[in-house]
Amino acid sequence: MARPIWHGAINFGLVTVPVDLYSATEDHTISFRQFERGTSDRIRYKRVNERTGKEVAYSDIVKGAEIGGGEYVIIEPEELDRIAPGRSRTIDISSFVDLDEIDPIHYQKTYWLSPSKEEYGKAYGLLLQAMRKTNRAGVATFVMRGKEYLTAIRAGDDDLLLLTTLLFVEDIRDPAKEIKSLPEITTARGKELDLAISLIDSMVDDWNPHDYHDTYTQRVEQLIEDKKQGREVVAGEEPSSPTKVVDLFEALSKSVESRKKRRSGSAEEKVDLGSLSKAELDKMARELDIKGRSKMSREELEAAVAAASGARRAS
Amino acid sequence: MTCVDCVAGVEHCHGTLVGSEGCTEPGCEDLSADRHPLVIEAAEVDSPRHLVATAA
Ligand SMILES: [Zn+2]
Ligand SMILES: [Zn+2]
Repeated sequence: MARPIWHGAINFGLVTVPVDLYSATEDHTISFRQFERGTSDRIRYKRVNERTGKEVAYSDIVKGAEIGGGEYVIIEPEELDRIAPGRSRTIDISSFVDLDEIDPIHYQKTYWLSPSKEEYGKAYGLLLQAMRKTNRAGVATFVMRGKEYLTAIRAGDDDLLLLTTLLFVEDIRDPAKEIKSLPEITTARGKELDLAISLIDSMVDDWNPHDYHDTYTQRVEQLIEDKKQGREVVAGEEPSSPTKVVDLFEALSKSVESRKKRRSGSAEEKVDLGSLSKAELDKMARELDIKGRSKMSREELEAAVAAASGARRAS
Repeated sequence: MTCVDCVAGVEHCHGTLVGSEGCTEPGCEDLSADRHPLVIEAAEVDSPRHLVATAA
């Protein structure tokens, strides 16, 4: 069981709901330790006083802000807390917006909010259901570890409120200042544009995150396993070469053709539902618009998909 | 001095997070910034004034 990363309360009009904040995501990539080559000596970072060279304990560290000329003002954690009166422990919802209005460039990290005591469940549930009904996200700010966060709070599928931290506009760079030569977009030729659009259309699919897995990390794990077993290490595939600009029209035509062939081929295949994973069945259930699919077990999904696709074939 | 996060019983680490590279706390596994009150930016790591990397 994870421990909350923060305690506080959601302020929503005159309603206050005490909540705990938990990380909803984690980085699953393999974290390597560092060694000096040729030795079994670990590399460690040490936090030392630069004058004495001695290690400094957490409780003995204060923060200093440079004010120029090599001078610093020292600030204690309590002083930082004090200038955020009341706010340091509350998530203040200031407005409700349509989630689609928020450009994904702002999204940072997502957390779960859960009522900090059972008795707050009623108010929490009310807020969750009202947000679900209106399909709106609450825009809120709060302070955690001496930093103010802009956030969007929404009702998740698991009957939990989700809080996603958002970048402030000040955090988003101006491309004109960062990119050496911005692309000059000339109006695309009608035929090429039509072909490119039909290629996109032929690749349209529902977003199903279960279709995507971190194959690179899987390969790193395999590499580690192989080296452990003393097996030969196999190199990865070469990346495909980019299309030559002159071939744009031809490349597009060929792509559309091959997509069409693939589509007609796969439609004739008969699917053995028993061999599919829950994620694959879930995807089919979504395509067939089967109600209540998110709460079904693998077996229930298989039965529902079989029934729905059978009915569709018969009609 | 007592640590406010220890008192509040929230998840945190007493090490200093070094960019996304590591943490000064030997057993620290979760290198997310939100559980580290003390973070040193990767750019600062190049400066030898704050930290030394040593072979243990
Ligand atoms: Zn602590
Ligand atoms: Zn740490």
